[in-house]
Amino acid sequence: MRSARMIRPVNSLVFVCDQLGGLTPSWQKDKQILWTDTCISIACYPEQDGPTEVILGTSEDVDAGHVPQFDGLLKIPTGILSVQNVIHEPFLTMDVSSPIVRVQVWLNHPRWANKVTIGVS
Amino acid sequence: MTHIHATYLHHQLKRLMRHDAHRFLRPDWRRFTCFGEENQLFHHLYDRIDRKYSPDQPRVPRGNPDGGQWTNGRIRSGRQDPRVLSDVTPNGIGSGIQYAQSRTRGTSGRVIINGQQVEPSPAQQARLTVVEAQAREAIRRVQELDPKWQPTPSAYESVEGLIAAYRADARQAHERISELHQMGIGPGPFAGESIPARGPERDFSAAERREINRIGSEKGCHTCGITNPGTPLENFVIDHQPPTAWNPLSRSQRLYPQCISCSSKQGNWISRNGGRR
Repeated sequence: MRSARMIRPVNSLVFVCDQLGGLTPSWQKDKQILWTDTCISIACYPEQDGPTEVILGTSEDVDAGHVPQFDGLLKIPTGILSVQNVIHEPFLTMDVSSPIVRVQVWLNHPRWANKVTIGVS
Repeated sequence: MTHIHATYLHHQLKRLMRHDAHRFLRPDWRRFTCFGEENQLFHHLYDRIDRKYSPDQPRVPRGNPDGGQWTNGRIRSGRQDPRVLSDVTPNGIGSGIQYAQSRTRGTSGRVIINGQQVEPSPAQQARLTVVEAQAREAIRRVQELDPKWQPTPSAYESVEGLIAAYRADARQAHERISELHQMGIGPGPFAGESIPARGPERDFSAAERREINRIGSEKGCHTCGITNPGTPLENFVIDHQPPTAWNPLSRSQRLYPQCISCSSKQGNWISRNGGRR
């Protein structure tokens, strides 16, 4: 299963978390990916310079073929994982079968990623 | 514009803090104020000094809860008394309303401390008026951006303690506003020129992008002052202020240049603080 969207998120940020939200990680300068056990923050391509393609699916379906920039566990209590903007509006959602899932994130560029791939297993 | 020397102002302030400050106030000082200045700080200060010491000023008759107190000629009590320092509007709710209610002021300039009415000295009254106004103004500025914010309450057991508490409130408010500005909430310390926003949408025109890039290259990011936007195409982020996601009073917005780092920090802060949830 795989879904994708081209977006220009406000503040060039997206958050992967439960549909009801999670604890947003503290900001750190020049960090592309930040996380807590309930929320992953991902920096996208600067919104005024161009769109970012966000892909969400199972890890087998979306594997980018290289080592992911993030590989960790995320709590999804309601069973619905959501990719949201800063005001918690969802871009993409995905049903998951477990309250704790393994999430992998691949970026196509170390600083200016315009393709963000999120794999769930 | 008339220039007033700081030494002169300092001298005037010292005189108005004296116990006999009323001697330095012309009886007809109101003639020199303009319509609409009734809420100005100096107006409150002069008014208090004037009313406290006017020998011709009538008193509230015996039998009234405020019997014996100075009055302006109309019998008032409690909240109707203009001497009660409070910004509580009779029917409306304004910013700072909870703050005004948090510290009890009695009539006649008395303050209630630990359930006891305490009469401040004239100098203390003048200082109280000043620090309370300063604290209220600082808190109002914070609450324009963060309406739920309140200063941490301070304990006090004397009038001097109350004055210190108001100062602490003002200091907390200044720290909070500084923190908000550093997070990109509100025009930052480097904010210079800006252009009006057509709306909260982000469908910026080429002209708006050009103008923001011009302002950014000259004045820098409004939050941190850096003149390099830090983006691959060297375009500044066009930042709505107040941020669309954090505009509790629905104020009109303006556009400012922001660097990518400050934009990211702002977005993180808004997400952490539940912006427009």
